[in-house]
Amino acid sequence: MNVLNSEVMYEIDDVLKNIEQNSAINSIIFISGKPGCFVAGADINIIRSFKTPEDGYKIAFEAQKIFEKIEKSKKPIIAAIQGSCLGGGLEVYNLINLYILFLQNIFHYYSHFYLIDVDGYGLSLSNCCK
Amino acid sequence: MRAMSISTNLKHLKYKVVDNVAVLTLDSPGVKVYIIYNSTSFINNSINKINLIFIVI
Repeated sequence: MNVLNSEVMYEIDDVLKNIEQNSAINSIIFISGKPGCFVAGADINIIRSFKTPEDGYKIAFEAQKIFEKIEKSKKPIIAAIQGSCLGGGLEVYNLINLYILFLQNIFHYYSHFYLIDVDGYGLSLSNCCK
Repeated sequence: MRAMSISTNLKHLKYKVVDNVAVLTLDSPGVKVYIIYNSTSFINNSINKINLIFIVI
């Protein structure tokens, strides 16, 4: 499954900026390049690189800003989701305007079951606090 | 159908425009996720409310 590490998030950010400025584009579709799955969520390997709580906060905050851009995009965003979609992938699913879902999709939010963590770069928690 | 490839330095996203629609194909470094259904016999009965387990590798 695809994971959302910092490199991926910054690429999404760059592309969204480009698309927002391009008047020839009127909508956006997200699809997975991997058959049968969408997004697993954040790349948990980055947790190993955290030296202080602030490191984690910084990564989560940067990701939340990018998620917010997806949520507030002026152009409609569609996600074509086939297969499993977990954790941070579900946050993307929650943020976008329209979904095209295929049969046999598996959506689950229990990644915090095995991770002592808050899913979706903490976006659920930040949304709860709004 | 008009398709236009956008040349960028993207490593994990493919970005093309088809008929004024931006198609973003996400192909990032992946993890293998094993999904086990009805796993009550797989794990201890004391936590038999669990019916779905994800194992991320």
